[in-house]
Formats: sequence, C-alpha cells, structure tokens
Amino acid sequence: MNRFIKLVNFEINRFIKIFIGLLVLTAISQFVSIFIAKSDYLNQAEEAKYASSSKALEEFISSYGTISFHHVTNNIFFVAPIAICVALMLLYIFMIWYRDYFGKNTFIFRLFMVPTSRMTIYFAKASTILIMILSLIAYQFILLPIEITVFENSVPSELLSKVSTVDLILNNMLFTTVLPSNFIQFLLSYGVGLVLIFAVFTVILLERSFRWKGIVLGILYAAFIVIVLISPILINELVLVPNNGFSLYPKEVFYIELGLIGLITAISIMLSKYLLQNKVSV
Amino acid sequence: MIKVSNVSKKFGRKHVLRNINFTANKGEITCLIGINGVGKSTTMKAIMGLTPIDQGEILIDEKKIHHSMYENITFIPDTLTMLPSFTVGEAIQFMEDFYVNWNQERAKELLGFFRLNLDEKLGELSKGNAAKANLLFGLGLDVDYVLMDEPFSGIDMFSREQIAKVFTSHLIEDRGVIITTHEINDIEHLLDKAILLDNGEILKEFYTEELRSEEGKSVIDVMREVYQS
Repeated sequence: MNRFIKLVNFEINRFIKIFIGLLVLTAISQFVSIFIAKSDYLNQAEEAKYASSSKALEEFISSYGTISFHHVTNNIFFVAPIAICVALMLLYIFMIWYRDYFGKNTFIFRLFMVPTSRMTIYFAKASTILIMILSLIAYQFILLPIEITVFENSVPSELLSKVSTVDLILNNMLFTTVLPSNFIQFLLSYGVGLVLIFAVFTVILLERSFRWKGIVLGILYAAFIVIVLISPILINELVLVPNNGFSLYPKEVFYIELGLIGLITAISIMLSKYLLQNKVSV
Repeated sequence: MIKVSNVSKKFGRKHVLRNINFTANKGEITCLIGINGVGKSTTMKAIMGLTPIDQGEILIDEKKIHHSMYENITFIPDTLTMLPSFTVGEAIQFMEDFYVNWNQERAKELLGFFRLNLDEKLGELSKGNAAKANLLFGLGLDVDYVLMDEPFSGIDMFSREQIAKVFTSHLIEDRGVIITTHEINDIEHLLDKAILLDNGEILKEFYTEELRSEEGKSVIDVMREVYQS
C-alpha cells in the first residue's frame, strides 16, 4: 500500500506541470469566453441604443433576447479547453506507459525492478489517470460559480437572465455527461470511462507483449469490447423486436450494460495481469 | 547462487538463447563474453524477470524471481534507468523511497568515489558519468547479487579505470556479480569465471584462475581460440 501511494504520487508529479498548465489554460480561455460573449452582445445592445429609452430596451430584447451564461458555454473559447483536456487525458492513457519505454533513458527497467508487484504499478497508473480526470472535473465545477458571478456582475441587470450553477449543470449536455443527476447514470458514465482506461491499458500491454501481432490483437480486443457493449441494444432491435414483438425495458438494458461494464473491466484487469506477469518484455 | 537451467528464448523466429546452463556464485565475478547480439543482455534480463523465457528455469538462491527479490538482486543495464529530468539527488531519493535495502551511507561513498554532483541532471551527464550514476543506483543497494550489462561500453579510458576499481573494492566484496562485456581487457584480471557465448549458445565456461594455472592461458587467448576457430 505504501509503495502504491508513493507510485501514484510519483506519477502525478511527473504530469503535474502539464496538469497545472491545463488548469491555467482552462481558466484563461473560459474567462476570455465570458469577455467575448458579453462584448458581442453588449456591442449589439449599444448599437441599438438600448439605454436611451425603455422602448428601445424592449425592442432590443424582443429581437435579441436577454443574455445568460448559456451564451458563454456555447462559445468556442469555453468548450475548447475542455476538449483539449479530454484529448490530452486520452493521450495520457497511452503516454503513461509508452514514455517509460521510449526516450533517452529507459525508465521501465527501474519501474519493473521496484520491489512491488507489477499490478501495483498498473493500478498506480490507472489511479493517477482517474485522479487527474476527477480533479479536472472538480476544477471545472469550482470555476463555474466564479465564472457565473463574474459574468453576471459585468452585464447590466436589465439585459441579464440569471442562471444558477445547478440549473446550468442540469441543462447543459456537456455538464450532465460529466456530472449525471442520478447515481445509476453516474455509474454508467464513469463505468464506461473506467472500461476505456483498462481496455486501452490492455491494448498497450498486448502491443508491448507481442509487438505487431499485439497491435492486431489489441484491435480485435477493442472490437470485442464494442460488440459486447452494444450487444444488448443490437439484440433488442434485431432479435427481440422482429421475432417476439417485444423489447427489453430501458432500465433492463441499463442494468445489463452495467453488468457488461463490470465484466469487461474484470476481463481487462485479468488479461493485463497475465500479460504483465508472463509476457511483457523490457 | 544464481542457477540458469536449460533456458531458451526466441524473438519471432530467431533463437536468442539456446539451452543455456550456468551458475553464478556469491562472492564471485562471472562474466558473459561475446560480441553484440549473442544473447548476453537477454540472459541478464531473463534472470531479472524482465524478459520472459520460453523454456527452462532460473533460480536465485533456489527461488524463482519474484518482485520481493528486487531487494536482493539488482540489474545495471547499459542505459540510465532513471528519468533524465531527475537530478542525481532526486534519483537517490527515488531509490531511498522505494527500496528498503537502500544504503544511504554507501550511496554517499559512491558519490564521492565517482565525483558525481547531486544537483546535476541525469539527462545532461556525459556517457561516462551516466555509467557511474547507473552503478551508483545499483551498488547503493544492499543486495547479494549485482548484474551489470556492458558497464564499460562507449565510455572514456579514465571512467573505465574508475569503474574497474569498484570491482576490487569493498563495494563488490562478497556479492555475486554477473557482468556482460565484449571489451574484456579492462577487467580480465578481475574475473573469477568466464562464459563464452555465441549465437545464443554457451561455447565454453571456465574458471580463469584454473585456466591460468593449468594451461597458462588468458581469457583473451581462449576467446581467440573459440571465436577464430
């Protein structure tokens, strides 16, 4: 346990500069998006001379509507850093293994000679990714109320539709995906994320074990996972409905999916354990 | 004792090791000799459990390699095994954090012996100093067995001499050492046992002292006989 925590700490420290860079980038870019969304809207309002009379204000609002924080979340500068974070975290799932193999020094020698089981190293890497992802999500939800406050204080009240942080999260597809409103949905969202991490780890270890053949096996494994995960929907639509005239309830499909996520995670971990102990070569 | 029995390994269709058998004892320096690509490094990695073998068995003090044994056996490859962004001091801290058997006193002694600077980044070290730093991370551990892969490869004469001195010092005393090299000149007089490899097979295995006293030959003489015949 002690070495596991040390390994997680070590892995986090290796990525911390890039991680802090992402946090700074996200904050700057999203505050820029506030400025742009607000300025674009207020420029139009100024052109319409909304402040000259109540009639001008009414006409402007009936033509352009009021402004809310939803205008900000639709801005490219608000969404782009989130997309960059997602892309970098996806890349990091690969990097966390491959950077130890390649480069000037071959750190994988030292890592695999640490007197701890290779599965401890494996789980330390997976935990690092999970901690990073959850930290980024938490950071976004800490930023949101600050951004909303800054935005709402910089727009004239007569042009503003106030939005609470909770309303924003509940009504924005991006936020409902990362912070689902019910627990089961939360399990499904994060379960799929977990499957993705463990599946990619398995594909990487297949490649590290069998090189070119491993890439082919990895692609087959990824295809297997996709087929398994969509099989309840396919069975529903292609077998049950045409042949029996009934389909599974959405809730049933949901629980089957949860079970499959658990199964694939278990298979990925067991396969990775076998590869790390018997096949992976340095 | 490290006992390698009937070990074979293939990479694709190429046989890298063919039925390798040898033992390496504590308190002895055993040298695997051969040109590049004959299977020396693969043998070392196989002993350490870093490369899985296809056949055979490797026992260290009668036990199969297990992660807990990395407190008792260490491998010093021919490249630095630490992050290039680490300073020498940070790398030492890493070793201290992860190994119960890390001997800080010995590490300090090695630092002085090799004249390495704690603040120097590993990625900026010369090849000679990188080899010395590698030795420091290996020999700073209180282990019974040390495996060194080509410690003299590509480094200057003075660094070679300094590293060679380690073998006659108390830093090696009583430990079992397996070393691979294709440059035998610097360490011939230090070896207890030599194993000549070619094409993944052991061609000859002998104790150097016996060879000198019984046949009056040096290791280089035998190498000439074996490799040039």
